[in-house]
This record gives sequence, structure tokens and C-alpha cells, in this order.
Amino acid sequence: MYLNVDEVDTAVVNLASTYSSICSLITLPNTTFGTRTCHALRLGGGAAGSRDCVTIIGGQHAREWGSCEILVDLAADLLEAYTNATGLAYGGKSYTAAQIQTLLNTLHLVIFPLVNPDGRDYSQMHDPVHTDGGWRKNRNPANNGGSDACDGVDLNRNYDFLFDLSKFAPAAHITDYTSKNPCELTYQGPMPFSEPETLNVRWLLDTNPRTRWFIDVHSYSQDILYSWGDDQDQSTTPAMNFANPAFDGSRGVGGDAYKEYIHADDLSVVVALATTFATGLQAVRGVSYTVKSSYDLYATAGSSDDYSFARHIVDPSKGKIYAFVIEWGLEFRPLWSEMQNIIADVDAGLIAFCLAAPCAAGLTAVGLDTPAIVFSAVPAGVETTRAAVFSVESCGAVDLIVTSGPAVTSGPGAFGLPVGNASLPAAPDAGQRDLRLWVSFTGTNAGDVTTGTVTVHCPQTMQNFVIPITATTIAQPKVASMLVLDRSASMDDPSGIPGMKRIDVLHAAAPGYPALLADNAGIGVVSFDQDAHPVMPVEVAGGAGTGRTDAANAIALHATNPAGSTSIGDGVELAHATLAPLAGYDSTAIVVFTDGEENTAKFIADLPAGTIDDRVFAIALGTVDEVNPVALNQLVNSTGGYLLLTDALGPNDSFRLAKYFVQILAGVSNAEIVVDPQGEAFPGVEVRIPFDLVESDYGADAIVLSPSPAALRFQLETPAGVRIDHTALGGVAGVMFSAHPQLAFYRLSLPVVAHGAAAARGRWHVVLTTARDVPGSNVASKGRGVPYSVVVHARSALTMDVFVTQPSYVAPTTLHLRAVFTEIGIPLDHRAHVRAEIARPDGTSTVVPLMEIEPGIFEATTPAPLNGTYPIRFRAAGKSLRGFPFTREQTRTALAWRGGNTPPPRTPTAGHCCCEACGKQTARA
Amino acid sequence: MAEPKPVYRVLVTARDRSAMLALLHRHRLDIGGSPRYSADGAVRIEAYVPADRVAELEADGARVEIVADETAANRDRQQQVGRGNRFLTGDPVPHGVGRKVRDRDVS
Repeated sequence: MYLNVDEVDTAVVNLASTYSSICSLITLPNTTFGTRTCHALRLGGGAAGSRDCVTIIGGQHAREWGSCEILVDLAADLLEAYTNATGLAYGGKSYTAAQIQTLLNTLHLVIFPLVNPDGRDYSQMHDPVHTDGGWRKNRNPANNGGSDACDGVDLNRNYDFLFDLSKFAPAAHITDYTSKNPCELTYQGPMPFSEPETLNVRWLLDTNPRTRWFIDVHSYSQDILYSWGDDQDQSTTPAMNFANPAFDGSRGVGGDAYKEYIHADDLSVVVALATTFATGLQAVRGVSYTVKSSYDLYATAGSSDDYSFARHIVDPSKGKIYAFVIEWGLEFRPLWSEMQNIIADVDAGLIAFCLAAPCAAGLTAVGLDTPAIVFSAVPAGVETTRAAVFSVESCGAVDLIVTSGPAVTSGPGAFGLPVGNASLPAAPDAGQRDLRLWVSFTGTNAGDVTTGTVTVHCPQTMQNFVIPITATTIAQPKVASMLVLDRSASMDDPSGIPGMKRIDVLHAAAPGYPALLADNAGIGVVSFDQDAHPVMPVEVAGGAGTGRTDAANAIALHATNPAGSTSIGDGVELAHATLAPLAGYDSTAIVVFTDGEENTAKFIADLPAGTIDDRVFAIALGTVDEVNPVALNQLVNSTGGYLLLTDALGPNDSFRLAKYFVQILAGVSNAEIVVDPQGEAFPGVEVRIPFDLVESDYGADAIVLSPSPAALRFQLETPAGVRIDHTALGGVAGVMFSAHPQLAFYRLSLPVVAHGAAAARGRWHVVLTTARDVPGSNVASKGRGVPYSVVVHARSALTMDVFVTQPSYVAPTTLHLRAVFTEIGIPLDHRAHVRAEIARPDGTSTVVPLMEIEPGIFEATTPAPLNGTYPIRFRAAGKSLRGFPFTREQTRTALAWRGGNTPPPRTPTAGHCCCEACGKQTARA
Repeated sequence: MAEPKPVYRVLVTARDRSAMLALLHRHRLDIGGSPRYSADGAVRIEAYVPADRVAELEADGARVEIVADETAANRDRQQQVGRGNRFLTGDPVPHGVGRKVRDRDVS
């Protein structure tokens, strides 16, 4: 059964209340002459005007009953399907749930099913149809001259478009179709918008200013019509248009000189959209609708579609509205059973139209989501980037062009545009996309506040955005460290690696340490044999400093003293004395490299207890029996550092010492080790090593160690799949690359901006290739690959600290393993798994899972039955606070050896000689 | 009092476009839908004409085919209009003619 007028209104009101989260009721401001209040619906979230809008009206002509049902059912279908996350099917045409969601998530649909309730009520309940095809107009009696038969205005002749009929040619006989006679069916009314019903339609357009498409549903003829209705279309003579008085008196006659101008682009848009409607409709049951302009055979004036499309021409401040008329069916009032088929046809076509409209129209909406760009707590000297984020709804390409700035308005420093202007390519749909304009800032001095502004222009929308910028600078943590290098005679002994003495191994491995230092770090060098020797005072590593280069040179020049013995105490003492007076550093560290047992004063044990307040790390080259690191082990453990012992080196251990230096650097600089694999890269085979970064990581180093880094093409791949290559860093911000003889690395300041896309958290890859055309690839040409070791360090608020303690340093003993996780100071509660991979002195190995005994604290014990070295690799994986995967790794060495518990050697005091070393001032070690 | 004559829905055919325009101008017909064109140039359009005016049209050169008694059809359709307010007494909201389908059912 058709809906009566009360039912139409109740249906609309109830739909709004039932689906209130996605639908709003619109009460039209003008009541009809029958005192009826009209309602419309706005489907889709957000306030009026917040989205592009399709406005669809129906029921202007009273006798065309089914228009109301088409629109009420359209709203009901969309709301129900959206709410229940289903698709919709009409005969042979169907739409997915995702399409329905997209439609109501990106557009507004304003649906006004019954513009003329008075007329419909008369038509349905009273009209005897004795003079014509049924009641067409509203029921306004104001102009009837006393005759009820002359009531009403043809609403679709009452809009303000060529309402003055003298603007038509006499030969057009315009009054045959748009009448001035109140007694005729097409009476236009006394003036434009004389009727409350047409005022309501205009009000809808005015209050939904982002209406881009307008559809007026009528019957009949199975057509969809596009602009114009006053004459035939033309796209060649813009001046020949409805608003040009020079053509008054010329319009409305087919086949003559005057034709109404429509831009060719607009014509293609409306034809495409109308065709989309017809195609969608035809898929339901095969009914074919004709796509054509409204003008056919005769002209009309004052119609809703021409008024809607003309608005932006008459008043350029109004948005362009593509306007259409649907003429459904083959009669005004079909049998209800057939009307239901027509509803299915037209609703399927309307959904197709709405889905295609945003792209077909090529319209663009751009909004600024971040009203300000804020750089909060940028470490001094660190460059970082922030984005102004724009939301874009457009199928077309969108550009953001900086027209002014970014400029500083107060405070020190400068803002930059690391990747220039921003743009988005065309897209297949108008779903909301983000577009980021990246601004960079380098921290100045702690406590500084810098403000500025940047002005951005969007040429597609002609919008200008003035965006304020604020930056605050904090002090960057600065670490000073001293390398304490052994030059005793034993450094000339074979290392175990073919062709390399121990001093050679040091020359090869140690340069990675200064190479990877942060620019603001301090670095100094001392050497020791039976005495300590100042080599290089503490210098700033990079930037204006030359410490990195000077330290590398000092390492290269480090030479063995053939008569030298080993006084680690002297070396540590001199390092501490060098660091102690330094100002401006947040922490200090000492890194000892030795290959043998201390055998001459000053011994470590000679240092007064508590005088070494630097963190001490140590790398010992050799076996535990050779090094006998009793005192060294105690020293590192008491200062928060740790000892790494290489054990006996073999032919395949070329990286071990270098990796130890890299790991200790991570310890010194409080970096986290994310992954630490190694392998060989073969020609033609791409090696992809994944690593995960999380939101707590604000920087990272991706490091490749190799005897021949030049033989490897070393790239990074962002989580989005964008390749970063150090040979082409244009368009990439936040990435620095550095290459050294046996080491190369990318330093990332997160987020990285690579070719307009931000990259931070997610799964990254180190990508290594060995191609024959890569210089140096002959390394891999003899059936072997190019050896590599990849280490990724993260500067992060997600930390893993590991500890190995043991009750005895003589086997058998027990190793206590402990790992502690925090993220921004909060324990990681049941979000990580940890295991320890332990190699035993006899060549066997084991994997020990650590149990979470408290939130974020993992522990395990494992026996150490044999004397010797136990390299322990802690490996952890888990989820960050926001649920992103992370990994962490750390290596430690546990030791057990005969004499491990004996008191450390020290210089005898009067009457007391503690050990074998007494008096051996120049013994070889 | 005599029963008013019915209004017929008729298909009016004129030999060409100008002949149709002249017919429309002289008779000010209540038109239903768009004109349709034949290959020979003839133009057809539906119109609603009181029964006693059909002869006038034919006399003016038009070919007129009666499609339906619109007065009777209108009476029938008025019986197909809901009475009362179904949304106050039953399901408060309409459900469109579209089938709500899961994506696996979408072809």
C-alpha cells in the first residue's frame, strides 16, 4: 500500500529517532497552507555542512505518489544496512556492507521525501481526476480567483530560474509549459519562492552548503535528466547563458542559435553520473532509463534542478550543485505491486549515484586537523619533524603549497620544510585521507622556546591555512667516555683469527665505537702497559667537534709496547682523572680493552674503594684463564657496567669483537639493541632482516658490520614498503647515513619522512643485496657470500636491562639471569617473553626461558657446571603499551675459572704480599 | 446529474516535432512524461484528456490511442493508499525493498 501523508511524516520522524546515531531529523521552517510541518532526514554523522552532501527531494508534484516511497525506502534501507553492517541487494544489483559504510561515513544524504504533503493528500484522498491526469500543484488558494479548481502553484515552476518568462523567445511558447494562469497545471505562482514548499527546498540547500548534488524525483518516462531545462546545452560560448540579458527574448526554442551554456567538464560530470544511475538501475531487472538533458521538445522555467545548478553562477559564493531529475516509471500512479519494483530500481540507481558522486564530481574538501604544530621537548642539537595533518576528501589530486614560512616569530633557531610541499595523488574513492605537511626543527639550547608560523595554500579549494608553530628545547643527554686500550706486549700475539694479531683485531673492531657516537658525546683515549699514557683528551665527537675522527686516528695509531706489561689500574685511574673535571656531561663511562691478566701496579684493587664513579665496561680478548679478570669483573659489576669476554677466537669470529664494541656503545649511550643477527649475503639474493620499532622509540641506528661494506647495497625499508637508499636521500628527512671501513649505518630520527610518508613504528627491514655490479662485490665471487652482521639500536623509552650474577666464579656454580622491562618508566606487565641462549664451554648450548616473577621482571637460574666462558644472549619479544611488537637483545658473558674466587692482585703493603704478581713490575702479560 | 466523463490517458502522435508543438500549444494538454521519437520523425507523447476532447485532437491531425481510463485507474489506486497510520500501530519504521545481505551473498 502507498503511504498516506501522515505515514510519510511518521516514517521520517521514526527513522530519525530509531537511527539517531547516524541520522538527524530536519524540521523544515515553513508550514504548508494545510498547516503541515514537513520533515527531512540527514543521513551520515556530523553537523550540517561538515561533509559533502547529496540532497534528494520528492513529492513536489502531488500525483506522482511513488517518489515519496522511493525516498523513504532509500533512507530506511541505508540506515538499517549501515546499522547492521550488511550490504543491500535489489534484484540483480547489490552493494557490499563496506560500500554502505563508506557512503554514510563520508557523505551526507539529505532526503526530503514529501515536499508537497497538501497536494499529495488531496490527490490520494479526494481528487476525482475528472479534468486532467490528477492533481499536480500544491493547495495554495491565494491566487484562485474564487475557484477551487484554480487552487495551487506548480512548485516545480516556482523556483528562481528565468522566472520572468519574457526572457524566452515568443516562439518558445513558454507559457504552454510554465504558465502565468493560476487555473493551469503549470502555474508558476506570483513570484519566485512564493510558496512555503519551495522555500523549504531552498532552505535545505542554504543550510547544507556543501550540497554538491541535487536530485528531484518525479514521474514519469524512465529518464534521468541533467541541466539545462530552458534550452539545449552548449559548451562553446560561455557568454550565451541564462544570466546574460543580451540573450533575453532568445531562449527556449530548439534548433535555433541560442543554447544554454554548460562547461564541458560539468557536462561530462553530469552525463557520467546520470549514466551511473541508469546503469545501477538497469542491473536490478533490466529496465533501461534514458540519460538526457532536461530540455526536450519544449522549455521550462522555474524548475528546481535548473535553480540548483544556477545558484553558483548567480552567486559565486555558493557551491556548485550538479542537479538532476529522475522521471521514474511509466505512469503517475502504478499498481502498488509494480511500484515496489520501481522503488527497487530507483533506489539501486540512487545508491550507485551516491557512491560514484564524490569521484565523478572531482570535488575536494580539505580540513586542518591539527590547528598548531607543536615540537615538545626537542633535545638540543637534535633535528626532529612534526606534521600539520590535513584531512582530505577528494578523488582528485590535492596539493598543499607553502606560501609563507615556516618562519620564526620569536626565540632562537629555525623551522624547515624537510620534504617541501605536500600532495596526494588521485584516488579511486573520496574516502577521507590524511595529508601531512612536514616541518622540521633542530633543538637549540635547553629552555629555549621558539614560535613561528607557516601559511599553506590549497589550490584545489583555494583555502589558506595559517598554522602556528611552537617548539621547546630540552638538554640532550650527553655522555663522555674514555677508551682505555691495552698496549702490553701480548697484544702482538696471534688472535686466533688467521693472519691477525690481537692488536690487528683491536684496530679492526674498535673504530666502530667512535663512529657510532652521538655528535654531542665526548670521547677520549688513554693507553696502558705498565703505566698509563694520555693519548687524547675528551673531545666532542661530532658537529663542531673532531673527537670522532681523532679517536679513530688514535685507535689506528695505537701500537704495542714489546716490553709492556699490564696495569689496568693505572689505565682506569688515568681515565677517571681525565673524566672527573669535565663539566657539561650527564654521565661518564670508561671502556677498558685488554687481552691479559693485570700483572703490575697499579692494580685495580689498588684503587681506593668508591673512587671510580664512572660506569666501567670491559672487553677482554682471550680466555678466562688468560685474562683472569677477578678484579676487572668486580669493578664493572660495582659500577653498573659489564664485562664481555671473547673467549678463544676462531676463523669465523671476525665480528665478535666489533659487535662487542657496538654493544658496549649501546650500554654507554643507553640505547636498546633491537636485533643482532649475522650471516652472509650472496650475489643476486636479497637479504631482508626485519626489525620492529614502537611508539616509544624516538631514534634508531641500523648498523651493518662487514669486512667489505662496499660490497653490500645497504637499504632500509619502512613499514609502508618505502625503500631508503643512502645514495638517494633527497625527499627523505630524519635519516643520516655514515660509512666507515668495516661499518656503515643509518641513523634515524623518528619519525622519518620518506617521500612524503611518515615512518616510525612498525616492521622495518634492513635490505642487503650483493650484486656483481656493486663495487667490491668480488668479495662474494668465489662461492662465498659477503659476511655481515646487522645490529639495530633504538633510542627508546622501552628498555630492557639484563643482569647475570653468580654466587661463585669457580665451577660448578649457578647463573642467575634477570631481565627488567619498562616503558616510559612503567613495568611491562605480561607483555613480553624472554629467553636466554647460553653457549657452554664444552660447545653445547641451551635455551633458558625466563619467568615473569613480577610485572616486567623476569628471572631464571641455570647451572654452570664447567669452568670457562658462557656467552649469554638474552632475546625478548613483546608488545608495547599500544600493542605494537618489539624485540630486544643483549649479550653478556658469565665466567667460571680456577682462581675465580681468589682475591684480586694488589700492590703489597708493608709486610704483606698478596699474590704472584708481587714485585713483577715488568712481567709480560 | 450526469456522471462526469472520464479522463483518458492517451498516446498522442504527431507527424513531426513542429506538429507536436503546435498541438500542445493549441490544446494545452496535460502531458505525462517525455516525448518519444520515431525514425520517421513522428513524435509521441502521453497526455491526459477528457473523453469528450479526444475527437478534437484527432480532428486536429493527431493520432490518438487510448491507453487507459485514468479516472477509473485513479479510483483503484486510491484504494491502494494506506489508512490510518501503520507506523503508530505496528513496526515504527519502514523497511525498504532492498534485501539486507551479508557480503558472501553479494554477487
